[in-house]
Amino acid sequence: MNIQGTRNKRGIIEAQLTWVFILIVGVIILLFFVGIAQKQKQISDTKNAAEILQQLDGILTGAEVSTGTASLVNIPKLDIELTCDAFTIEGVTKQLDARVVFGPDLIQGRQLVMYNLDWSVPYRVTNFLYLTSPNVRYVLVGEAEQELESLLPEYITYESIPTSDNFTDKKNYKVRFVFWDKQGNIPDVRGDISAVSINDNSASFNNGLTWSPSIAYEGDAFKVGAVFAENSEQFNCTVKKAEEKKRIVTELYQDRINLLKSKYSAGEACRELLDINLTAFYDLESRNYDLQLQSCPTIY
Amino acid sequence: MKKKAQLKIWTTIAILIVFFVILMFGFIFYTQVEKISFERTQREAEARRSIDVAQVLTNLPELQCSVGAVERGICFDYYKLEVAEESINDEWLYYYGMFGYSDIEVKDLSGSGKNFTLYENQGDKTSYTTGFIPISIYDPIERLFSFGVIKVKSYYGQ
Repeated sequence: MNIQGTRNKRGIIEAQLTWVFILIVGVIILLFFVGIAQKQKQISDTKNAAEILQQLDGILTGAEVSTGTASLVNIPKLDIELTCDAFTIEGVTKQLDARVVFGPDLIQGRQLVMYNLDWSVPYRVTNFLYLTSPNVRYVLVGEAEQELESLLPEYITYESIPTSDNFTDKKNYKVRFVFWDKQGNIPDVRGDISAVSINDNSASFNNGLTWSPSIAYEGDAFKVGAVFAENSEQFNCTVKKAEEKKRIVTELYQDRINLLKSKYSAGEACRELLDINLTAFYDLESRNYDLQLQSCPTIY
Repeated sequence: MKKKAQLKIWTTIAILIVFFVILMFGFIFYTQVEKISFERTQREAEARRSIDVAQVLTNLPELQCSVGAVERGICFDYYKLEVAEESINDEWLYYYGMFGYSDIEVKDLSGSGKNFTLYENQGDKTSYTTGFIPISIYDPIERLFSFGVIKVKSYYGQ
């Protein structure tokens, strides 16, 4: 019997098996750590997105209360998705609740433009907030320039052209054509192209295919909203939100007027001037002025 | 020799088991630290929430005063406060989106001394942070300002 040979063979096999064992265990350990690292990255990304969302929410609250101001905020390079009811960063969503916000459905880039205007009818109902990115290109066609330029905030990227034939593509991720009181032609270019036709009391949107039915509104704040709103669905939704707020504020103002009226005796000038129904009265501005002249509490 | 080889393999396995146990303890410790850090961030966010609520509240047209038809900042109209108590309660769901889980009171300190409870919603929350904001309260009939304070109690946790 060749005992030495058998021993050698056993030693070689044992060495090989040891290495196989080491390889298997090594791969298991590696996979374990890679799994942990991936899971940790996911958690970290979600946590980051939630923190950024929280901070952005605070910034939006601040921006909403300072009327007529535009600001440019530096943000991390994350896509912000915006709808009528919520905004989302990296899959984490925050509700907008009662806030009336207009903006494109996707805001890309490292900067965010925030602007707000108050909506008054003539008493202030709420502040509208407008969000966009300097990377979105707004093209005012024809008369739209004279009618809208003074309402638009600084920091946005916009230009004026006489007709849509004069448009040159600059590879922006999003382009919005703005027409005044006509449903103009949209150039056939690649990318996210949309259009809006605005006049003093209604707006119609085009997503590149067809024009939507007109949506009625009142006030300049809505005109600006139509420039920034992504489409007719978002605009319609925000109009409804604003109308709901108007109903609530009007009811409260009416209750206040009735309470003030009750503090005066019959025949007093203030009582007579305060005897109005806000939903049916059409010249609130002059009535408010009359109340001021008589040193009575004003409606607004 | 066979026993020696078996012992060697068992030693290797034991080392691996100990290694993974230490790793597991390390991971548990790390997740606990992350959890505490996250809870602290949540508490800070909740503290900021009461400030956000106060900021929104002081700019509501439903409460803001106007003198000579011009809106004044950090000022509430006395008669709007009187009607807002009931009005906000009637539209509770609408204002829940604005105020969330919080209690909001306005106290007229130097005028009528009245306490206006505008909104109450603790829900099932157990902890809270409180913010006080001074405010003017305007009486449009007497044309007088008085001192007031807004108390915002913001609830969080379960």
